[in-house]
Amino acid sequence: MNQLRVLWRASPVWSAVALALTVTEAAVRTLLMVGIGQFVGSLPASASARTWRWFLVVAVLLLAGPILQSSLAAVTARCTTAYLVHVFDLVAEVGVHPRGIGHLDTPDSASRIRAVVDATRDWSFVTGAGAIWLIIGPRLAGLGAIAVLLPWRWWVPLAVAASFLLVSRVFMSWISLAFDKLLETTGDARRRASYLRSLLTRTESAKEVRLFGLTDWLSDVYRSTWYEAMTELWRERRSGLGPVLLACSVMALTVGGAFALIGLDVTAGTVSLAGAVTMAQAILRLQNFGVLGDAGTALARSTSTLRALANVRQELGLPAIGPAAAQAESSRSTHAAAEVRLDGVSFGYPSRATQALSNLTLQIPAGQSIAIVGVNGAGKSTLIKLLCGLYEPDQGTVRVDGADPAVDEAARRRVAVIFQDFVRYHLPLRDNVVLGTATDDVLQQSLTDAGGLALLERHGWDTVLSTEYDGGTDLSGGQWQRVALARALAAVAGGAGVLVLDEPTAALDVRAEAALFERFLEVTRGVTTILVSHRLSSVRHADRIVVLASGGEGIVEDGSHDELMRLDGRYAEMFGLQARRFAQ
Amino acid sequence: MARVLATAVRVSPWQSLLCLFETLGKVLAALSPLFIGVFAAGALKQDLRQMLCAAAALVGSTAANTALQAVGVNARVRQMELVGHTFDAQIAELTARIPTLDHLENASYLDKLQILRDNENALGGALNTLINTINTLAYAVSVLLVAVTADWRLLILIALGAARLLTARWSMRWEKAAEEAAAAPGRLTRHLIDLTVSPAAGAETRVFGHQSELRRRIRLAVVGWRRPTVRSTDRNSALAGANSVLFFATAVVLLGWMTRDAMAGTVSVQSLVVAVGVLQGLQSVSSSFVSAVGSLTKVGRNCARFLWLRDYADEVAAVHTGRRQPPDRLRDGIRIERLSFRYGDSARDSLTDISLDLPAGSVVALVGENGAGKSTLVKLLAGLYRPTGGRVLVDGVDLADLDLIGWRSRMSGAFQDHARFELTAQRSVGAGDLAVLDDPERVLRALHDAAAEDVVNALPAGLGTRLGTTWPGGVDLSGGQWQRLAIARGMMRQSPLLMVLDEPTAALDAATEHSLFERYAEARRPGRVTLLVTHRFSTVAAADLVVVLDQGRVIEVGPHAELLANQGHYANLYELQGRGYR
Repeated sequence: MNQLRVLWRASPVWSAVALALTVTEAAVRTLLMVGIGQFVGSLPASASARTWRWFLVVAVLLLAGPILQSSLAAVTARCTTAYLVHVFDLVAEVGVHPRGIGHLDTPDSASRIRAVVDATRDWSFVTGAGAIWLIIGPRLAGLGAIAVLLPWRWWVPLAVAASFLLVSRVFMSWISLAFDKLLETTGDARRRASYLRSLLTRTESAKEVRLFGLTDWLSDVYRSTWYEAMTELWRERRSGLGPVLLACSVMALTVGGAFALIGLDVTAGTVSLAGAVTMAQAILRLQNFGVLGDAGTALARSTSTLRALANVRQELGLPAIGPAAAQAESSRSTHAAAEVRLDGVSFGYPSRATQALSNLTLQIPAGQSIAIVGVNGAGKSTLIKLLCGLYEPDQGTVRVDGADPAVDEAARRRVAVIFQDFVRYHLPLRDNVVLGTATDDVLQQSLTDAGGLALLERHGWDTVLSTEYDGGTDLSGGQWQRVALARALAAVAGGAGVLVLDEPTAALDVRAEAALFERFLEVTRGVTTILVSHRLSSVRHADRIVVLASGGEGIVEDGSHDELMRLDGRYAEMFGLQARRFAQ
Repeated sequence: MARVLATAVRVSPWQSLLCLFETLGKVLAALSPLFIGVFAAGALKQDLRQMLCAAAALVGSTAANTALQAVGVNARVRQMELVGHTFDAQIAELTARIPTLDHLENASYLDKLQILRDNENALGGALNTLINTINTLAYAVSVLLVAVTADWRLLILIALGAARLLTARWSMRWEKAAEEAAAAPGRLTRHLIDLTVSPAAGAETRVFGHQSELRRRIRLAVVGWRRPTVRSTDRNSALAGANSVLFFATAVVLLGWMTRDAMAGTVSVQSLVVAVGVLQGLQSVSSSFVSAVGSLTKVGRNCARFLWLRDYADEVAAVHTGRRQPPDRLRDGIRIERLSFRYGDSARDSLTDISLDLPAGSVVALVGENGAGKSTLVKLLAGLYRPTGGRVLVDGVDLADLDLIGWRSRMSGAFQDHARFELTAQRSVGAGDLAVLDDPERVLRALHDAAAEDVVNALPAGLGTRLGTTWPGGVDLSGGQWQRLAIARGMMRQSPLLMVLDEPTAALDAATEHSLFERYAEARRPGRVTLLVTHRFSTVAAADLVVVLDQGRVIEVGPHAELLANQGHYANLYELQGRGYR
């Protein structure tokens, strides 16, 4: 079983203890059947010494059971914790391990990864982790019952156990069909329904849902989407019930036959009262090979989630159930500015028809500050992602200090970046600036340079930046942008040689922006700077400005602010457009 | 709880009945010690007929039980899904119907309702628990009956259940405390896992080399989330162990007593066999009563959360009693009188004593630095917050007397922190005016008004393209493209009384911003107020009126030229920004 192997990987010690307890408990149960049989069997003989001896055995075994069960519960909780830590790590690794981010934004693989993440949030997942012991224990006790019955007629327990197994198999396959189907066939439709519901309940959409009065409409679409997905599923499930009922009739015949045989043997005198009582118990105990209720359901579901996870992992070249070998953590060896070269780079997203960039060539000498401007959709963000090695270009090469950032971790770590949609960690301010270890000096300096000192004075390093946590606070867009900037500056302090800023001041107000750019040159000294901005007043300070044409067609203008103004081309036109509003 | 059951019966009475098949199976299973006893007695008497009857009964308690269970489980799961969905839909609707936003920005509210809001099927799970509880109770009662037929002394064991019931309170307290302590780290775990599988966060994780640190944080969060559960399991299993040892010790004494009587011939072998066989069942009797109380409490807790949400929604609705409909067009305009606002438990006002006149037919620019209170003012105008002081007058009528839904249906707008509706492009924009949701012409016009035609032109299937990469055939949009669709959505409504553009151009390029700005200026219509919120001063020069906010107060009001001439705060900032272009 997959789950056992994962448990073993997650915590060999706790798994072994749990297994030992489970085996012992099964043995106690089996011995108890024999003990009870012998005890009852000795009664009519009125040999009191023998009766009391078996009574003592039964008493001890009765008391041992609950002690074992309590210990198993405590051990299971620990085992489950280790298992969850391990599995969530495997899930996280799916997200962060591949070098690029293609698997996260290609619809097909992204939706399968999402389905796994969602399945881990179902009740059955955590329950299923502990349910394995509730399954193994009874099955072992069932084996004990077979052992008790073997000396009588070896084929009877096997036949009865087989019929129970048959029922169990048919039942479980019905369940897993029903629930695997839940994950696969109707997965998208169900996810769609959840998504529609989340639009109604989430903060992000709350304002517009109310402003545009979308509540009723979204509710209706949510309901109909859900029903459509589920009706199909219910039909499938019901039709799977037939074989289950058939298997139950087979089972009824074998169980009835077995009891009748015991009866015949008793009247024939070949089986004693003690034997009859023991064997009747044992035959009923064979039910343990049968259906095992919610624990079985939970286990089946969580196993199928694990299987889906393992499949996703293998497709990404990761080991199915163990973490991949740790990647060498590359340290940034140099602190010098980096040189950046793009040669004949073309790139198109798999999910889009048109090319995002075609045949782009750009050389940025170490230490230069360059600004990239262009209309929306000109490929600026794509250019940044390629530079960060998040995708490999379809054609051409990207080099940072001569190395390919899509292949060479060290080259990628030479890049520091603020993306437009930078991450807002629900973690303390400190971790939002540097996630990991950093000296207070670096933290303080970075936040100061980013103009965020007021934040620190107001909240301190340890306030969680989300109101969803006790004592947490939320920052405004502008405050967040300062934090993101501080994050990038800290990376520069840590040895990055290229600083990429994608609209770093979009949410900053005039004064903050002016203050930032006043110190910009000082802050970014000794590092190659690539600035993407729509605001040409900030762009003009760059050593060099590159204008990208719309539709990814490459560079149309390249030069300093003054040169481009003299050229009187697109840049001059855009600049004029913005500047005109300040002419009175 | 009754509501959950009633809902179950209402959504599908036939299936509810089938759920009881499982209960019947449980009863048959509970009777098996009795059948074994009869079987043993038959063996003792060498009575084949009695043994065969007992055997037939035992077949009933195994095979029939399984068949009943299969039918029952199918019905139960379906009921659970159906009832869960019914409540999920109600919860979502209730949440979305609460006219204000405070509840979504409040940690204690979120803690309370996270389970309902995020765990779909929380109340379906409640029904499941309820049916399971009914099953265990039916089982327990049958076991009790079997025990009584065997020997009255076995009832002493039931008395021991009292101890269990007493200590059950501790268990529940421990469990509740654990559930609450686990909520925040559980939330963090989800957040961090979401980050690892989000493309945007994934990009940053890679560039900053956060991979292993992020995984380490997730491990810590999971441990933190599980720790309270492990601790409460330790306590609970120790308690349960102690209770069980007490139970079986007593049982052993009773069995000894019965054995002595059996030897004396006053107790039959059948009774003794039944007694031994029913012990395990008897033990679970008291614990099933306990767990029944426990699960019912848990169900009750989730139901209570639901009721709390409903009451909260009612309460908010009761506070806002306004029913008047807004005018067809604004005659005078919107007047703000001494308006103040303070967030829930905040120490200071976000807005203090704001008084303003927004004349009908004008374009008003609201400018100020971050945190000046611009967005708060917008939300107050939309009725998303209730003022803590002062009022908003729409053509002389207090906003509090207006029907909020009616008022909002006459507003429109676009925001910097807009929603991303991952629907088809048509509907993502069309949602701005549901009446014409599926009208491509209207959507194209809105796209034109928002200068966003090229966003849709670049889509493979035009307006029919599904947005969002996690959907089959879905297409990814950049932040700027999403924002332009959000603006287009804001352009859908034909004649709003109040049009709010809350920094919707922050992520846009100069050319787009310019063309949008031209359109905003054209947005000046009689009978309407257009409110531009921005920190970019270049976009406001053409506004009729400029309002400068600073730290929650209005510090300057007037036309652009006048404010420049005054050489105040506004002139200062305008100069600062314009300097870049000189």
